[in-house]
Amino acid sequence: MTDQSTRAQAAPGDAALRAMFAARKQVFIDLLKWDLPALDGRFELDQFDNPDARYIILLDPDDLRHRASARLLPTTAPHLLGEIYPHLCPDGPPSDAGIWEISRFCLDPAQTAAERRDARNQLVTALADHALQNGIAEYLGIADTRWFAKIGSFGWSCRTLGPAHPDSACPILAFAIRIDDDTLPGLQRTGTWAPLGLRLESGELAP
Amino acid sequence: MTDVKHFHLTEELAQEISGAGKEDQLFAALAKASDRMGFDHFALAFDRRGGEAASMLVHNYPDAWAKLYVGLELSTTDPIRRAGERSITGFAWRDVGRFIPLSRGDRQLLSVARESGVRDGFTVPRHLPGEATGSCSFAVGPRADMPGDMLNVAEIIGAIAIARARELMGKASPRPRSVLTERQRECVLWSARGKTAGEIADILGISEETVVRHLKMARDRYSVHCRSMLILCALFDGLIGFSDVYDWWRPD
Repeated sequence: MTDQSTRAQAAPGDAALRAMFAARKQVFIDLLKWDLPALDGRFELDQFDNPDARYIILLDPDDLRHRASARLLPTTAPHLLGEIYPHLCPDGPPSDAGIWEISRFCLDPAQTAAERRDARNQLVTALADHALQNGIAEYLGIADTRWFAKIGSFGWSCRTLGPAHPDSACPILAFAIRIDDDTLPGLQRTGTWAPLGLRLESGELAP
Repeated sequence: MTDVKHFHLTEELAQEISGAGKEDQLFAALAKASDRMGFDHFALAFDRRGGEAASMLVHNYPDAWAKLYVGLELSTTDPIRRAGERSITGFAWRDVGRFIPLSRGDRQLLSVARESGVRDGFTVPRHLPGEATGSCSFAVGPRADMPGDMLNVAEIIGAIAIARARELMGKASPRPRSVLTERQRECVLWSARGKTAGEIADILGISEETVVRHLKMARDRYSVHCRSMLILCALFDGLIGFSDVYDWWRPD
């Protein structure tokens, strides 16, 4: 309600969100050179970072550094596939309370290859767990064909929603990941499943 | 009749805000005022600089936006805040581009604000160079239009709210005496106008060594080590004014 002299300090619960938005700026703007504006030159946020969004954030348990994160948007509200990339789905973008879209899958650049891989596996596992615990039957995503080939090899059940469309350097496509009782065994078979060693923060902007 | 109605509303709201003895009373008075004027939200910010720097931020913005604005410390580069330093009156956010050039990041900040439930607003800025900056904003949510007939009321109410915040925070007391001697002040003034020690010596009809000594003693009195900080100190203390300097430097 009111806060005096707290302008410079963020509440502790917001630290994870703050670290994630800063990491997203480093990854998507600085590293991948996506043509996105940075907020205050430090953070990457777009119109989908709104109260509908949910975030899965993995922090280093020791120093609370950002390690990996992803954004989840309900497909019953504005999301990337529905608003920006509907042309990737010839049959129309799927929309259902049990279908959520994953975007801004972000692995922190400040880690070794082994740490990155471990953080990635824990994030994939956390996403599967989140879906199983929250009645999410399917995730949607958009990826270039190389990244999609990687995602498809994690051991969960993926299908494309349409042909790849040329987008700058690498063609992009829309895909769906089915989440059910076979998902965790599938991730385990490929060695992608990883026990949660990092600190999981589920963030949101909604109250 | 509308004029009379607005006059009574302004008087009523102004009295409540002026009478607020504590921050929570100011919150309540402003929440009521923004509602009565047809706005959904308000935010009153007051930053006092100097030795006893302190800030006050009282608002009822939607949680999502408050979380981002406070959590990411966006106020430091908020374009509305920057535009406020260029306007003598309140202004609607959609007109912010008339006051400052907007970067892509600025536009993104405004668009994220809209997505977080703050669609448009009206900000009343107030500045006391060297002492404080304040602003009082009234905003509308995604489904509302700006109450165009209430902007003059908002202008007055916003200004009174900022003044009240200043009272509650306590004013910095002005220095009883000038830190600098008159001769030192003159040297600083010409220095701020871009003159070298040699040029100042010619202007004042004293030797260059004397000018250098005056400037050195002036820096010592403010405990600063360079000429630019000395100029800022004199400017903040009101020993020289912006208008004293401005005519000596103009962008093309």
